[in-house]
Amino acid sequence: MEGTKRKRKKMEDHDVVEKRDCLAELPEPLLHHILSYLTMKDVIRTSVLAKRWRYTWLYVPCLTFPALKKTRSEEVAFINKSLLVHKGSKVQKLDITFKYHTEAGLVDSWIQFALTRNVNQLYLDFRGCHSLKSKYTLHDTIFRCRSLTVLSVKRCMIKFPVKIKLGSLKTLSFEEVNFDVGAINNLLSSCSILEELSFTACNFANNPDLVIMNSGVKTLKIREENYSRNLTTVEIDAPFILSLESEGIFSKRYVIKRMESLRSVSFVCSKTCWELCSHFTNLENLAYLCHVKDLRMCSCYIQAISSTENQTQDCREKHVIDLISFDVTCLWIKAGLIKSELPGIAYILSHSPNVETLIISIDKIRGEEDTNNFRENEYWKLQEPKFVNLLCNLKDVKIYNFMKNVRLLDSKPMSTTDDFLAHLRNDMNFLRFLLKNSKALEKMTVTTIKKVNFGRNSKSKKRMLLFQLTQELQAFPRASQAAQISFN
Amino acid sequence: MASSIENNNEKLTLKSSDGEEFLVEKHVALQSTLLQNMLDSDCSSADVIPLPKIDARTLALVLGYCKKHADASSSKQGELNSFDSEFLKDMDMGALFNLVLAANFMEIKGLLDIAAQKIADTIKDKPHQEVREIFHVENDYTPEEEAAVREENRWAFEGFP
Repeated sequence: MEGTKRKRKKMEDHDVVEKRDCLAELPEPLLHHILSYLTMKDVIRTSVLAKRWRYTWLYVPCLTFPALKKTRSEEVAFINKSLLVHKGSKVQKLDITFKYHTEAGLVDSWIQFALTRNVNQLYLDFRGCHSLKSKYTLHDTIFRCRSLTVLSVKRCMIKFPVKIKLGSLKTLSFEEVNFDVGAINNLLSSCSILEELSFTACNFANNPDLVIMNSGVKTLKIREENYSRNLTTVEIDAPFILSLESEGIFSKRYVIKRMESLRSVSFVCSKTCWELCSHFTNLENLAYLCHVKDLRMCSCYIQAISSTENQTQDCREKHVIDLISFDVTCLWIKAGLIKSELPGIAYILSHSPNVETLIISIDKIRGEEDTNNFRENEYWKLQEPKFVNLLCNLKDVKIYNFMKNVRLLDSKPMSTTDDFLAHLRNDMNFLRFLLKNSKALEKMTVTTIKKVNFGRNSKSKKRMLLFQLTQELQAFPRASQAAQISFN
Repeated sequence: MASSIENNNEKLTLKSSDGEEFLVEKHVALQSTLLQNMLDSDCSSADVIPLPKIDARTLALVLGYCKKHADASSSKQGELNSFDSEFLKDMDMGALFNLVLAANFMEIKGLLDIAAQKIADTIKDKPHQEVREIFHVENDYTPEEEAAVREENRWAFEGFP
């Protein structure tokens, strides 16, 4: 009896559910959390939904103003008006992106608005201002804001004050900001609980030594997009950081002075790799990768190692890198598997006895197109004796963007599947080598690139090619009988 | 090693608002800060933990999410991201709101964030008439009042009917 009653009630509830005003049921903090994912324009427009929404937007603690498709003065007026009428006593996040011209006084008042409401996260991006003279100079009261946990500043000038009190700051990021001598190191030494630090296209010209002695800083991210021929050298002394990420094409040469704690490293170029972007690739940095567990590197790094491997004349340097052994367990490589990379890949694999997961993302590498004309078909076969007692822990191999290099043949619609197979010969030889020498292998997953144009009858050619490649892969000798191969 | 496996197998029972009981492995339950705090204090895992605000259908979903995230290792972030985006796909609004309330109550930050984001995405860039319909918001403004509010915040309505 009790049971059926409950069941009927449940059914009724269920019917009601379909028509109920879900938003009205939310407690205010949860509603604010949902609204924090919207821009201010969307938040303000909720005022017209119903009476109880009329003033909701005045109290939201997260205010996001992205760049608007409007004139500069309209953009400024929108932000200014929204902040002037805001009634909340607390601002969790203020995020402003706009085209700055000469509104320094206004921007100062916006920052003041945030600071008096104990802002936690402040994101400021001053777009569209290219001349140095007309750039906004960041108001220095920011550097005495104790409530701030995240500070991100883009495209403006900063004159760091001597006294800095950022006791709650955990994440600090700069983009297109130039630093005075010593200023950044002084700033860092004042942020006692900082965890994450990031520089994008910043200039340390007068202050080439970056010293991060904070033991709490776990992550350092460096991103650049400008290549210049006048390489300046930046020395980084950061004995406590755990994770280093670098991305882009670099205008500086980075030398790692101390980074003993590193556990995770990523050296990746944002665009297609070429040897000129070798930013962190000077090999004196190599020793700091010894204890790294999670290592991601792109072709330019691999090629730099290759060239050292090839220069057998320089015995001393070769001796140094031969002695290094890497602790890496997860290795991610972006490479084209071309001739100039193979010695580098072989070196990393033969010096990384603990590697468990190997991920290769195949990329078209500029510089060398005649991949078929050298005898790399033999390369991996010749390496086998070196690997007799190696690759013992490799369990998982993942290959992404397989067939990416096949696009070289786009211009020949008459190419047959055999032509394509010939082109994939090098890649297949590498897979053969891995299967034959990885004793603990559990899984090999090869994922082909989706958009490949095989010319005439593309679909059926692709099906045929996939079939032949799968057959071939399955027939390769395997050191680990348990290894599963999936090809898709 | 053996003891850690035993610990992993420790289970506790959660009871939904409509009386259904769920047996949950401890490491899955730990995805919820609420349950974690309960387990850290004197609450014995032998007890049944009642969750009076969460119905069985929602709780099953929540636990599915927790299990996936508890079992995946940190190196499989990409896999988790695609699980997350599939998880809420095609979910009706009622279920989504139940889920966001449950995640909020049980303090499961990851789930709370993706559910909140999904609701926000539904509001984003839509004319308010459409938002009203989707969320069954009853418009209690008179046409004059509505026009007045709109005029008051005119600068935010540009480009909207």
